Amino acid sequence: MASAVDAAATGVRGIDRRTVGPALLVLALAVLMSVVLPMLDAETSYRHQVHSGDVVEVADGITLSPTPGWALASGALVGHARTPIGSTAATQLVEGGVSVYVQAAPFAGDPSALLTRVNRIDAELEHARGSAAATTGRYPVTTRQGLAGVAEDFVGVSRQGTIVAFVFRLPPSAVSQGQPAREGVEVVAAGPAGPVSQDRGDIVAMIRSIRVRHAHA
Amino acid sequence: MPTHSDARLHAIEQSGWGEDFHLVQPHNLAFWVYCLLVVAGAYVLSGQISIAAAAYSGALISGLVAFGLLAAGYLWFIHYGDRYTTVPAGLAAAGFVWGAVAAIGAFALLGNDAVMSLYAKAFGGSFAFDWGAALTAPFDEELAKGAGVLLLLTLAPRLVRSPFDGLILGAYVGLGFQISEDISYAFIGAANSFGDVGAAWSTIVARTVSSLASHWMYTGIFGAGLVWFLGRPDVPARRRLGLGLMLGAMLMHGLWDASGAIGGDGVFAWVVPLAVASAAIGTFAWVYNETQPIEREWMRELMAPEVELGVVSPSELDALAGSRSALRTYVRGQQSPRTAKRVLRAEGELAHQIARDGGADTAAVQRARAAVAQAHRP
Repeated sequence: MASAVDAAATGVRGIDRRTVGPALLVLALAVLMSVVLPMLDAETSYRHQVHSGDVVEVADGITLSPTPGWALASGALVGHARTPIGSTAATQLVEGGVSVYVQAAPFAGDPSALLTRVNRIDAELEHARGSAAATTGRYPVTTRQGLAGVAEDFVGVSRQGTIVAFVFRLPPSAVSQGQPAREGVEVVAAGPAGPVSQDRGDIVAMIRSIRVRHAHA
Repeated sequence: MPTHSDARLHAIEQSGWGEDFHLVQPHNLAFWVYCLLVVAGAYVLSGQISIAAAAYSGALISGLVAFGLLAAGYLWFIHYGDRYTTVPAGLAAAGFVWGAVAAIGAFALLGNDAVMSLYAKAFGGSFAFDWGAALTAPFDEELAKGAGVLLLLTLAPRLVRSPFDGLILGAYVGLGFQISEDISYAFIGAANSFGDVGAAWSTIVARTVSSLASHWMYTGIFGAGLVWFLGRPDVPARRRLGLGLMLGAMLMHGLWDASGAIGGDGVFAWVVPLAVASAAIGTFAWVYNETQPIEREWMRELMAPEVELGVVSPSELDALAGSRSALRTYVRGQQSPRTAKRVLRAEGELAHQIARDGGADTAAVQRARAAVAQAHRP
């Protein structure tokens, strides 16, 4: 049998001493990655807040102006990142326990259809997780650039917030083969009830700041 | 002076050829750690899979089918390249499962998220966007996969006897990781596109196109480096080379992940990934060629007595224990290449049977010799 076990090398509970070092090294590595690093992350706070004038590129040709004092957890500030941003991209801004998550990707329908799609996926995920959230009726939202979207509020057990859906028409590009591309943007602002109410002004300002370069009506 | 028979026994002893792999070794702590981390990885992955099945089932099924086929192709390719003292199927499967389940679920998923988040917290979101993956995955993922090679080396020290074994075993571990990651990227692609299955297929095409210079290659290089670093009874440790290969695999992985940030959106954007892919393929091919001689020598020592017996001709032995190009040249030069291929295949089977029976002249070995004689007939 291809075993490393040798009678002379057995130690505690019959375990071959020669196998202890490598096995414990691997176990220690797993504990470091799956336990220690996530704990360290949970205990660490953001050191870099966004400043006045900073602009986040939420997708190619679409920007958002974050409220100063919030931190960029994922995504890229215009002029600060080298990696090209495509039509499918995600951004997350956080402040205290509140997060504003922005997902952008090509979408062929209108804002209402996008919100319906997002609600269907959320319902399937909530069903799988055994959680649930109640939603309000839909209401229109408009950015400062005049771009229209649709929103609804939701209340869950520990979190509440707002989901907003936009669908923008972007100028023709190589990817869209000369046709105006339609880009869906989903914004989810969520957190515990108190902080969300407290940050409502910031959240509304950020949603209204979404801009499209060379916007099509 | 050692005889050919002594040399045969030496080859069997040193190569571990013909040994079976037994995963269940209660006295080996590596067995318990392997089981614990595969179970932990499966638990973490099951959470992901259940979410994908609930909301992105079309993308999940597409990923399973497409990458299942890709896995089959690469498994065949790695097995094809492992033509001398072949890694047993059980050991290859244990490596694949480690990569697909433990290395992802019990190491990389949580570790990557935590480190990426720490970069964003310490250096800002834009820094993490550009460099986070490149400064995280090469460490987390290469060490997670390399840990599997180390565990399996501890479980099968008589089977992993040369850097070539490390290369092949590493390739199986890396392939498992790659396929598991590919499947998750398929449904993440759909999740990031509001559930669009078409986006999953774009991801599938992109991951398939870039699959050659990827995890299976990095971990193959890392595995060969690990065996060289540690040394084996017939292979003296070459610590600098071993360490260089392990770090080289991590560096190539990092440069690949940093391609976007290094290249920006200009023409250079294509140059970086192409250069990294070329370096990975070149290094893998170099390691493959550099590590083969000892395996060929074992094949030569094992089959030399068959030349004395007249079962195998000297030129057939040269083809059997030679490189792929030597094998092709030999086959093409024969009157009937088809018969030559059949004979060499039968002689390969004979070599495996001799190794399995520890060099003894058993009934099974005699049957394998008879099969060689049969193969010579038109």
